[in-house]
Amino acid sequence: MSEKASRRDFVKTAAAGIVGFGLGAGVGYGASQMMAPPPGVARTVTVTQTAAAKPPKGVPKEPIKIGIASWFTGPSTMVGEACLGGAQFAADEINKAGGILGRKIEVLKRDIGTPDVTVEAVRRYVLEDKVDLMAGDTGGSNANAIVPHIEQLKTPFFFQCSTTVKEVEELNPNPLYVFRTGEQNLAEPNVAAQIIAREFPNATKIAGINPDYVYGREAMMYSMMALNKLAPNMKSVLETWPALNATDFSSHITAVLAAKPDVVITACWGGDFVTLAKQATAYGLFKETNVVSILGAMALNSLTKDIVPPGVWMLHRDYYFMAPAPNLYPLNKWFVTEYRKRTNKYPEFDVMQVFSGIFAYKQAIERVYAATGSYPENDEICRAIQNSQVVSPAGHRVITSDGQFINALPYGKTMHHADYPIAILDPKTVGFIQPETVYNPKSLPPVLQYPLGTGMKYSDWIATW
Amino acid sequence: MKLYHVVALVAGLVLASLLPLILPKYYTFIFAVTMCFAIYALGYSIILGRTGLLSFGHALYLGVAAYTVAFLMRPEMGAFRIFSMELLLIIAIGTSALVGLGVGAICIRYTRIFFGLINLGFVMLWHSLLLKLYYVTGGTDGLPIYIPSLFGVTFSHEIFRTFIFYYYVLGIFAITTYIMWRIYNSPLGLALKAIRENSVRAEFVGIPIGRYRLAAYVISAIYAGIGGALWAPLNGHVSPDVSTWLTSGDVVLMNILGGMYTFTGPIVGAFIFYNLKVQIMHFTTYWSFILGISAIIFVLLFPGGVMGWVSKVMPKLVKKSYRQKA
Amino acid sequence: MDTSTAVIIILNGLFYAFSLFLISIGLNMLYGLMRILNIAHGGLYAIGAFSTWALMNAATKAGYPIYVLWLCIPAGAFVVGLIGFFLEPTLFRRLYKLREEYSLLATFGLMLVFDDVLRMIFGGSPLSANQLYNWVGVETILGNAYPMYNFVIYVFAASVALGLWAFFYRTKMGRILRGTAQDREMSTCLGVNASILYTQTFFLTIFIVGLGGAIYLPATSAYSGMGFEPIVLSFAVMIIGGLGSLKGALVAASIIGLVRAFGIALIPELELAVVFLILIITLIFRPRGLFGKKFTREEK
Repeated sequence: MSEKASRRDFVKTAAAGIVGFGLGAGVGYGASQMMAPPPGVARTVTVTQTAAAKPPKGVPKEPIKIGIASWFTGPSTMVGEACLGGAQFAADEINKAGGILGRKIEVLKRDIGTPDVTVEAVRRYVLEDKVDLMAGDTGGSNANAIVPHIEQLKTPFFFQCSTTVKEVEELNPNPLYVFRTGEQNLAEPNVAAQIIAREFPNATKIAGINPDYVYGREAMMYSMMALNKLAPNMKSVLETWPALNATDFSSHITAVLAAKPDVVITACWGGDFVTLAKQATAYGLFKETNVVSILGAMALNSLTKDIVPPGVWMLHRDYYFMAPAPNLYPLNKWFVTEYRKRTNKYPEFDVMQVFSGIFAYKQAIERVYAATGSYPENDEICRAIQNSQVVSPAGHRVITSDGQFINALPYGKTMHHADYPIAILDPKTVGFIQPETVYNPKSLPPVLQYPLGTGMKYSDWIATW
Repeated sequence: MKLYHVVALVAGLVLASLLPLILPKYYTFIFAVTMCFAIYALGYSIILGRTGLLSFGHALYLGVAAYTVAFLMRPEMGAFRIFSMELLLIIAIGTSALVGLGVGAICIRYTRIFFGLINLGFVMLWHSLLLKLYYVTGGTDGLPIYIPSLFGVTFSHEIFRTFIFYYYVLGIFAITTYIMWRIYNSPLGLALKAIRENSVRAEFVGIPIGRYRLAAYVISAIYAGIGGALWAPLNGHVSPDVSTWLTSGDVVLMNILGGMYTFTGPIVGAFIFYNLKVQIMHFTTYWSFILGISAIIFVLLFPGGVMGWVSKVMPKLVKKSYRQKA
Repeated sequence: MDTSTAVIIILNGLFYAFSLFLISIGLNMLYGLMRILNIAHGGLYAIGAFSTWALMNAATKAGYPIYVLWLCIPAGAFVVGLIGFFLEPTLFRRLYKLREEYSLLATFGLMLVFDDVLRMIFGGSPLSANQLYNWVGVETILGNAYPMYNFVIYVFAASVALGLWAFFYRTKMGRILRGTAQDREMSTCLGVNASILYTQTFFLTIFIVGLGGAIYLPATSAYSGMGFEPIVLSFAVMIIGGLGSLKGALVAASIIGLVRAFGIALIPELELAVVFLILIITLIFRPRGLFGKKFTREEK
């Protein structure tokens, strides 16, 4: 077969193919246009209008599906398991009491990974599994990737804490379906700064060992930004950046020791913090200087006494299992005891966050149903969750108009106690930071916008302190 | 080209065009992404299957193209923001070609394992740069990618992702496949085959092996760039994970799975790989295990890949580009 | 920077360097002799770490005294050896004849399998076994605290290097190995049974990498996915040092380790990017590496 002949044949084929493609596309497009609703019809349904605009929707019979999307493989598996544990716990308790308006809750789980995998998982949840709600700790980069999809897919997602400056300020400044049941990543540096300013007023040199990715960078940067305002005498003398999931922190620890800082800030979390703590103990870091760990408590159940010595300042995000003190707050006592019975672990903050989120969801549905007699759609549920409050093991939690769950933020210094295999916080040192002092006040209602309005950039807000 | 080849092609195209109507929206999205990877794999096949060079760093071009698209769409660009998909494609092709030329000129001098590893070095260097220069590239958080306009028309998000863009990608996929077919049957394509079989002899015959290898490399970089530029708006987001040596390994898997030495092999391989990955991840978190076992099984039992097996069973249907090895 | 800190930094650099050395020497031998780039070597390193953890964990729970834990290290390596014993005839033997791309893909697949199997068995959280690390304790070196366990690692790695040197250059089998690596055809003409040689080399390499994973466990931790990073860097060590060179592997690993350690101390922004830059520069200006042989025309 000569080449010329094959080329001519191929041209014929290609032409046929293009015609076929054109035909198919044309037919397809025309057909879809006939089937799809005309563009421009917006759904602006408020709670009161529902009853008038359409007949009340009865309570569906199918169970409510909640999809957990978090890490179930890799070094952050403990996080996914905590989220799932909290969801399962909440689901079981709610189902025992009859479910949400009689609907039982089913909890699904999907693993996430790199952003495209996470986007897949989320789209699959909504389009295939038809979940009613999603929840989980996905990490900042994944959150950035899926937040636009969430708003388009119109299904609420309870993020734990995965927030970055970009997401809050640029990508999704007015969320409807995106909620954060955990403390914002942006708030932690402010908490750390307040603690350092309070506990170490005479310090001048600050060092940082933080994971080398956006979260770690922002944690250190905003901590120093806030510290410059609260305690201008403190300066950063050394910042070192181990890679995420590194196993060898020895060089970083040595570099920090050589700089002789007064306080070391570290945002290493999960397995990183465990390894860092172990090696730091060997190099005497905890003895030489004061360490403030922003997120080490995420690996709560791995922080055994041989890894974390006493005297380390730990931030506990928005929940520490012993604060509010269980003997004084029965809901917390019940929560911790039950969770230990189920999983033999102490509940990390992820557990509480997902748990309270699901209860907030239940509460919202029940309220809208009671008010309107109709089972709410997703956007109605979301609006009902915003600007509400929910009771949780961490105390009362308020949900702002941009979907942020807030409550008092605990912190403390570690100690060893015979009754506990892990390092716990010394109750004498446990303090709380009020959330209003660490959150950018963008979600103030219009009448209270004096003089800080909404929509201020985070760094600009800190500049006004 | 036999008659049934023609029929198969036309039927395939018509079927592909009708898919978004029959299948649920989720699958339209998946198939559109798969076609992007098919373009990427097809381009890669010209250096792996045709020229015999194994590169472990082609995810570099995927990343370069996707980040170029993201950069051009950033709000910081202000008045210079580019939303036209056609323009974005052209610029992405340009950047991938340039980077391919630069990197290729360095790599081409080496073969076999060194070629693979120097490419690995470049992709990991790019990866590190993406992470370090986080204030520009967004670091681990990556950059968002907004909906571009197709031939000047902007669609809403869901219509775009699950319907319109599928056809756009299908069209480009058809065009790029045709161009690759032409390249394979051109003097360059045949010369590359000669270089693969015996480079010393090819050189003695007068083929400029350095230049031709570089040409093949740049072509593969351009194809990876096209695949990356099309994938970016579908995914809506780009992050450094798109360019690591592991994701570069994925395209090697796609080629070998489908059949390194056939024309349609890489396309088939891309379809199998991506859809398998999506389906398996639905059922189990241990898909790496399944992927690994499949890779081993294919290497040991089906080294010709799927299309290689098909060519054995139906030799007239699929033409292989190598003689049976002893 | 004062001397005492510099000394600690050098020690830290060596700590990292030796882990790379232990992995890359196996890679080097496998590629030099059998032309197989064994990506799964990283997975074997991980298996060494995990099995040692399992043994140490069991031993601690059963209440054995501390010296039993020292035995867990070679025991963990032995587990890796067992796995190799199973893998060699089933998988690797078939890879020798295949093209490089195929063997690469097969070992890549094997690496994925190892990673997932370890996760299936041990779960996702990082696992530590600090008993030995704590028991050996901390001493001060020139005024800075330093964990003494790291010296155990140095001694061990140095003995491996020395032992391998003696093996290659002072024993008959070592000579045969070197000869076969240089020219397989000629070697078989002279009566060497290449297959048996391959098998023996294979066991040697995996035992070394298993021991590497085992001995590093008390100082770090075993976590899911721990094989991937060292394997990429070990490729770099292999190339920079030069194929087929023991000296090269040692020197290249030390360079990378020290550059990294000093880099972190002086310019904290750098880390992995530097290693890949060195790799590329080496490949451009001296592709055979520091101590590798020059290429023949066929290899180009």
